[in-house]
Amino acid sequence: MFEAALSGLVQVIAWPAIGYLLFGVLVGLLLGMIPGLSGLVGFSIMLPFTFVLEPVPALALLLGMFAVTTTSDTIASVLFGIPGTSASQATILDGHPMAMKGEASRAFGAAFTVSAVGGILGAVVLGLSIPLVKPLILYFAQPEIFMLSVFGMTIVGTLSGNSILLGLIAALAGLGLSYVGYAENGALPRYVFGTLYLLDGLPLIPVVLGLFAIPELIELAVQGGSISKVPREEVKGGLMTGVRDACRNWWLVLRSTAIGAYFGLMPGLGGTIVDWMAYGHAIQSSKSKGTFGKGDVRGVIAPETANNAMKGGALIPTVAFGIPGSPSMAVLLGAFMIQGVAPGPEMLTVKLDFTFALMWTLAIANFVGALLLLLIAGKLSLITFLSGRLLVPLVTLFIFLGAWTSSSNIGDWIVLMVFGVVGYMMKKGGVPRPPMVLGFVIGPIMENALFITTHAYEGLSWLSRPACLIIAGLCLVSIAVGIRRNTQKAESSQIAIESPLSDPTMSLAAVGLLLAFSIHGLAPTYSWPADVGRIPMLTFIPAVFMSLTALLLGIWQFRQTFTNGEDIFPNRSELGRVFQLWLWLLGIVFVTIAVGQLFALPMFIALYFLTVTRYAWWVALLSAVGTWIFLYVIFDRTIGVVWYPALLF
Amino acid sequence: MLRQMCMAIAAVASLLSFTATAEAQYYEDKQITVLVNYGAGGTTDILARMIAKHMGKHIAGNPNIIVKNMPGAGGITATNHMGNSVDADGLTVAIFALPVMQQVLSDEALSFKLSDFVWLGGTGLPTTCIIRKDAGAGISKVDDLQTVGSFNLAGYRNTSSTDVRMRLGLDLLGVEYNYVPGYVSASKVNAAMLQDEAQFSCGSILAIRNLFGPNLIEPGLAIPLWYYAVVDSDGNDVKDDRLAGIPTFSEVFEKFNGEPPSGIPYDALTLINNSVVTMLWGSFVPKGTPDEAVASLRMAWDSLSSDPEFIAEYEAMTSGAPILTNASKVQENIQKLVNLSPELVTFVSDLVSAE
Repeated sequence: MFEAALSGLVQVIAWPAIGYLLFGVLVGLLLGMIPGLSGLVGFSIMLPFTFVLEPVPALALLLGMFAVTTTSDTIASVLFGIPGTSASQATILDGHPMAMKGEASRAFGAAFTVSAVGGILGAVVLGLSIPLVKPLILYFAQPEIFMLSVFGMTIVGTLSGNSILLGLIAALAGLGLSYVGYAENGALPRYVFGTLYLLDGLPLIPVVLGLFAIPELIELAVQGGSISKVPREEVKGGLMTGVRDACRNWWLVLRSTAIGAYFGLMPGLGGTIVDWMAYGHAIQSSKSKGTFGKGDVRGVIAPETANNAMKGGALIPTVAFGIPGSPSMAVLLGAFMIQGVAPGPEMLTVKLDFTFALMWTLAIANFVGALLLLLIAGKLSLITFLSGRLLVPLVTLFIFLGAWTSSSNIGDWIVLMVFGVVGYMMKKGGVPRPPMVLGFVIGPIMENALFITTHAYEGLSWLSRPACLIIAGLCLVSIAVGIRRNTQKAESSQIAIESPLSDPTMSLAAVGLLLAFSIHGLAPTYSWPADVGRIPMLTFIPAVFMSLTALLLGIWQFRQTFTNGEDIFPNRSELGRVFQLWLWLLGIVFVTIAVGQLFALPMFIALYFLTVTRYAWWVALLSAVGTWIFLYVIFDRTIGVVWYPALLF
Repeated sequence: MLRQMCMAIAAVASLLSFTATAEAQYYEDKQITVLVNYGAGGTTDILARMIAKHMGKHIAGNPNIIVKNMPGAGGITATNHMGNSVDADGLTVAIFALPVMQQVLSDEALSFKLSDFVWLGGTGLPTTCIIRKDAGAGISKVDDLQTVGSFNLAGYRNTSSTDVRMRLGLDLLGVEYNYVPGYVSASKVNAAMLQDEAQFSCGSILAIRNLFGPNLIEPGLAIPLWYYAVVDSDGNDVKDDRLAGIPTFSEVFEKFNGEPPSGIPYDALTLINNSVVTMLWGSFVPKGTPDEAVASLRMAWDSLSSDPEFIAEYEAMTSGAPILTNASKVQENIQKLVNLSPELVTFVSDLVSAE
C-alpha cells in the first residue's frame, strides 16, 4: 500500500499533471466564490478539454477544481450570508454574524485553515480505512439510508433555537416542500399547480437564497450602515486569530473530519447534509452553547471542516464501486467514462496507485487552495466595512444570478422572491429557518429510501437489521440531547439560531402561513395512490396539529403583549422600506421579462446608484457597463447560461 | 450527345457549387448554440459536448459552437423552448435525450410533438439485462430463468423506457418478479445489485462497461441474460457487434417458447426499443429553419461517423464505435412514435400506471 501511495504521489506531482491541478484549483476558487456556480458548472466547462488528456492530468484538473469550491464558497457565506454552494448553508449561521461583528477576517482564517485540514485529513482517514470501506458500503443499503436520514432529522431539536415546537413545524414544512414535483418512484406529479417548472420539484439554491440571503439583503438595504456593525478600528483579532481558533478547536476539527468523511462515504446521503450534521454536532457536543448563531467561530469550523472532508469520503465509493456518494461524484463518474477508467474493485487492488493519485490530488488542492485564500482573506474582509447601500446592488446581482443558474427559468426567480418573503417573515417572527432547509434537503432521500425499502424487503424485516438498530439507538440519543437542551432554562443553553427578540405580529403571520401551507398540503393526499400520498400525509397531519397549537399559543401571547392598545406594527417605517426594496426586486423580474437579464441587471445597478445612493451619473453608467461586461464574459460566453427569452428583443 | 453530357455535368457541378457556397456562406462568421435538455455533467451533457466539439469542423463556414444546458421536467422544458422561443435560423441546435416515453404517452406537458421539428440525426445505445447468480433458486445460464423463482427487479421509475422494456421482457417470458422502482441512476442500481437488495436490472452499454461489468459481471456475481436488439422492418433482429456472445431477447424468447415473440406487448417493446437504440439522443432544429442551414447541419452529423477523432473519443467512453442514425431514418422513427395505434398507447399507459 505504501508503494502505491508513493507511486500515486509521483504521478500527481509530475509535469504536466501538477500544472493542470493548480489551474483547476484557480478555476475552482473562482467558481466557489460566485454564488450559484459550483463544481458542477466547472465540470461541464472543463470536460471537453479533458477528452484529449491522459487520465491523471485530466482528473487532476477536474478534482483540483472540484476540491476547492467548498473552500472559497465560505466567502459569500460569511460576507453576505449567501451560501456560496449548497455545501456551505450551515456556515452562514455563525459566519455571517461574525462578519457583522467585524470578524470576517477571523472567520476566514478559521474556515480556510480547517478546510485545508479537513480536506487533507479526510483523504488520509479514507486512505487508511480502505480495507473497511467495502463491507461498510455494501452493508449500507436503502433501510440504513432511511434510518440515517431519520437520524439527520433528529438534529432539528438542536437547530430549533428557542422553540422546539416552531422548529418541528419548520422541519415538517421543509419536508412538505420537498414533495413538490414527481416522486422519484411515482408517475403522479404533486403540488405543481399545473406548471411545468415544478415537475422537477423546488430547486434548492433559490429556496435557500430566498430563506437566508434575501432577509440579509433587506437588512443591509433597510438599516443602512455597513455589514460590520463594529467600526474597523475597534475590531480585535484578525486572520491569525482565526487560524489559532482552528488549532485551539483541534478536537472539534477531528470529529468534524470524521463526520464529513464517513457521511460522504454513505451513498445517497453524502454531501447534501454533511454541513448541517457537523454544525448540529458542534452545538450538541459543546458545553457553552449560548454564543451559537451569534457569531461563534465553532459554528464556522465544524461545517467548513466537514464539507471538505466529505469529498474524500465521496470519492472512495465512486472509484471503488461506481457508487457516487454525492451528485458531483456522479458527474465525476462521467469524467471516468471519458477517460476509459472503469470504477470497480480493481481500483483498490491493481490500480490502487491511481486511486491514491486521486486522493493526493484532493489533498494538494485543499492545501494550495486554502493557502491562496488566506493570502487574500484580509483584503476580502474589508468589504464588510463598506457602506451597505453600495453593496446592495452587488449582493442583489449575486443573489439573482445564483438563483438563475439553478435551471435558467423565470420560475427560479419567482421561487426566490416567494421564499424571500417567507424567510423574512420567519426571521422577524422568530421561526427557525435551518430546520426547514434540513427537512427540504433530507425529504427526497428519506421518502425514496423508505419507498424502496418497503418494496424490496418483506414486511418490517428490515427494521431488525443490526445497522438499523444501531442508528435507531443514535436517533434516540440525539433526540434526548435535543430535549434536554430545550428543557434547560439557563442562559448558557439558549442558542440564538434565530433572534429571540421576535416580532409577535410577524411570528403570528409566519405560523399562520405555515398552517395554511400544511392544510393545503394535506388536502389532496387523500385522493392520491398510497405510494404517492402516504408520506406527504404522514408529514402534514402532525404539521397541521402543531402549527394550530403554535397559532393558538401565538394568539394568546399576542393578546398578552398588546393589552393596552399599542401599535401592533411598531416597525411600520421599516416595513415601508422593505416594501420599497421589494418593488425594486420585482422591477428586476418584470424588466427582465421585457428586455432580458443582460439589460435588466445593469439597468438596475445604474438606477439604484442614481436614485438611492445618489452617485454621479458617470459612476452609475460605469457600474452598469462593468456589470454588463461581467455578465457577458463570465456568464454568457464562458459558462453558457441560457438567458430569459425576452419579449422585446 | 457529348455536348449535352458536358452541359449536364456543368449544370450539376454549378448547382452543387452553388449549394456548397450557399451553405458555406450561411454559417460563415456565425456562432451556433447547442442546447442540451439535461444538466451539466450527465451522460447526455457529456455526449452532446463531445458531438458539439467535433461537429463544427464538418459544417461549411466553420462556425464557432458553444453549449448551453436547460434542464427541467425530464427534458420537456427545453423541448418546449425549442418549439416556442427559439428562432428558426439554424443558430440554435438541440442535442437532446429525447422524451420518447412522454411522446408515447402523449404527456400533456409536452406542448410540441417530436414530429414538429426538423431532424438532423440521432444516436443511441443498446440495453442489456443482467441477473445476480444467487437470485431466487440460483442461475448460471439464461435457461435457468424458467426455474429461478421470484426476485427483485431494480427499476428507475415507472415511466422510464428502460423500466418498460425490462418489465415487458420478463412479462413476455412469464418470469415471476417483484418490481422495485426508485433507483434514480445506473450507479444506484449498481449499488442495489452489489448489496443484493435487487437481483435483476438492465442498463445501457455504458452502464455495462463502466458499472455492471467491473463490479458485478467480472467478479462473477452476475451474468448477462440478453440485450434488446433493434428489429428491422422485416421483423428480424439487427445484431450488435459490441455485444457478441450475448443473445438477443427474441432469441431467448424463441428458445423458451419455440416461436418468435408477437402481439401488442412485443410491438410496444419493439417500438420503444427501436427508438431508444437508434435515437435516445437526437438532434433537431425548429421548423422553418433555412434549407441551406439544415443541409449543412445534416451533412456535419453524417460526417461524424467517419471522423477518426470523434470515433476515438466515443470508443474510449463506450468501448465501441458510435452508431449514428441519419436524418431520414430518425424522421421515419419519429413518425412511428407519433402515429401509434390507440391499443398500444392504452397498453403502455396501463403498464406504467399500474401500482
